[in-house]
Amino acid sequence: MVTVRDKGTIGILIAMPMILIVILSSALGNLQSNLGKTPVAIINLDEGKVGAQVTDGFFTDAQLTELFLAQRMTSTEEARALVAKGDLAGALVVPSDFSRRLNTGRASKLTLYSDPGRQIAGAVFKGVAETLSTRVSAASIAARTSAYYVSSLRVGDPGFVYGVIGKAVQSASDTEALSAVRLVESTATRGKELSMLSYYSGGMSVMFLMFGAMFGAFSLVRERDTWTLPRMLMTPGTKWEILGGKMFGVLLIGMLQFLVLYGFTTALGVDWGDLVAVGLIGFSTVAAATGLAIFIAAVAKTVRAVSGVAQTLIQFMAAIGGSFFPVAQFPAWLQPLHYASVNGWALDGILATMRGANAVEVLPNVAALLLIAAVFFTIGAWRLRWE
Amino acid sequence: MSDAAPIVIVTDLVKRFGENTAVDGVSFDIREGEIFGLLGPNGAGKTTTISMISCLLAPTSGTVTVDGHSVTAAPGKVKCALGVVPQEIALYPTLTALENLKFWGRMYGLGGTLLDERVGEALEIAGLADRAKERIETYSGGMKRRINIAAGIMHHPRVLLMDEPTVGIDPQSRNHILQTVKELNRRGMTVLYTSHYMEEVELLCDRVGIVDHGRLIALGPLEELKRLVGDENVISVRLAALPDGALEALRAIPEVDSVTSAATGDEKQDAEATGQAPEDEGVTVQVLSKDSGTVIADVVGILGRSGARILSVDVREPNLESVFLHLTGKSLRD
Repeated sequence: MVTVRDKGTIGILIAMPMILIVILSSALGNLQSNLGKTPVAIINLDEGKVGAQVTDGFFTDAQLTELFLAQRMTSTEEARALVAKGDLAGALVVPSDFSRRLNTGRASKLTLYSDPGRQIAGAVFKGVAETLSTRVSAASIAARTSAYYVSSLRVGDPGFVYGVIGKAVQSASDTEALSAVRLVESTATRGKELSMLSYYSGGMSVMFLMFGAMFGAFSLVRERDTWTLPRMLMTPGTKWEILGGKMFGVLLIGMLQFLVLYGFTTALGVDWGDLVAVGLIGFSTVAAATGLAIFIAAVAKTVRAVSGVAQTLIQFMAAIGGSFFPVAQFPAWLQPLHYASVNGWALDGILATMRGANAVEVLPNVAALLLIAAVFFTIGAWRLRWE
Repeated sequence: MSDAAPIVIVTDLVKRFGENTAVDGVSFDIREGEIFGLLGPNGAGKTTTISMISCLLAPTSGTVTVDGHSVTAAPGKVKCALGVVPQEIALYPTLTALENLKFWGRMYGLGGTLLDERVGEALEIAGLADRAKERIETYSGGMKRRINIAAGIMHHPRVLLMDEPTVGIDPQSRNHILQTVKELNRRGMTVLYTSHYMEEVELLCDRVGIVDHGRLIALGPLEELKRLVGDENVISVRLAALPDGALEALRAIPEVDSVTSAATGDEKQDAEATGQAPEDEGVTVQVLSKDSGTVIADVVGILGRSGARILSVDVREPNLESVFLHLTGKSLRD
């Protein structure tokens, strides 16, 4: 009751993670990436057929249409302005002499404009454009090679030679030829890809559950200083009953906090996955944080010391656990360290449920978190000074 | 009351914190229905003794039984029989008085309509029923202490431990608390009352134990303790300031048994406790002598010649202050 009446605390535990989730996912992933489609413009000025064959894929290829929301435009300047404004992630321009130059054996170019503010989406668009230009180059080489050899044949009928070359060029330019070597992307993880919004919903929720439990540590130390804790010990309740009761309060507030964040992020479009799995991960995370809170209250002698220890520990765990940046971006030697933190186990479990894991599949994470809870609670309760 | 069986028995109680011995072999018993006072200066071991009786601290050695139950073997039963009013105001400041009392009542196993009845009763005793729904943080110090007491009596304990319940409060609240203690005792509650204010202990207690440096140096009814100092009276001289060498000169008077001094501000609270007018700042010199009638002239003369400005002179019959002075050579507030 004392914690719930503290409006400042409630603000920090609920409002702050909501704000951070929105800011981080917007800054690093663009909320629209949640829909999986990056808006781009295609300006095909080519007088021949090759340009269309390159750019049509953005409107017909299943993989590309899943990634991009492409629109045809006729004005390069207009498209460039939209990219600069941020309305488009990129624009691909095929020049008017694209086919003519390729058919006569000269190099041609595709021009790409990208929004530097959308680094990830921009990088993907650039990669696709590079792939397309590589395919066109390969087709062009095939056509020229065949033309060379055909023309070297001493065939009397020039029409036959031109016809063969034409067919070679035509076949090299066909979509199927362009697709002779396809780039197949596959992911190492099972299930769907996650947006930054989903990632940070999990990351920030776990971090702020830790902060919430730390208020339990503050409460214990403060109650010791104000003598409500020693007074409790003078009542018929045992130490374990009193401590258990206090920690149950912390656990309850943590679960409520998790529920609010779950609801908020779900409203933003995050799919957390299997409810039972999410509930288990949420509960075990709060339990681990609560155990850690008792441990900190036992180690730190004053409220100020609790603040220092808690801040340091939470931010360290959040950093190595992946709450700030995906663990996959860490150096290889650093990645295993994320299992040394509550955040690491919790976020692993949450991301797994978001990708489609069920309750059974996250049991190892749940077990690890409950073990952390038990160990810290036991040590903390044993070492806690009551007066 | 003198024939009542003991309800609290403390035997050779010792508590050490590392090298420091806070309680050093204290033994006493409290008879059912009496108000027992534990008088001593700050740091004498009163709070540590109460903490051991209330099962908060484990004794280093010795035994304590409450209502026949050992604090080490049956702490649950001991706690049920005890109510504790700690020296600290152990309440939740952001909760109302009503919420605090309900919480502490539940901690003692009360619930339902019984809890509501006891809360109402406790608020009446505290005299704060009309302000029950206000947060503790809005209360004055005296009001907080009254609710602090109320929280300790909710479950109708057989023995109430009160650790300096009037520290730092206004005279009106202090008087209210002292009357409350008498009322609770009248209703059958045994009280262990600790204080360093002599007048409170003299006003309330049937028997008094005097502690200093962790040891019980005297124990008995008030009159019996006063007889320890025989015919010694206390000559209290209030000075604007204490000149150098004045105390040594007073100790040199042959009929003087002991001399102490204390800042008069410490005396203020004692005066307020007995309804006397509070005095101004300064220094109060106390001289213990069996021949106060003769000695008083020498005392005034020495102080006057030393340059002291004498504000008032008072001669008192033996009291607990003089008992403490006689036994330890210092005042309760040294």
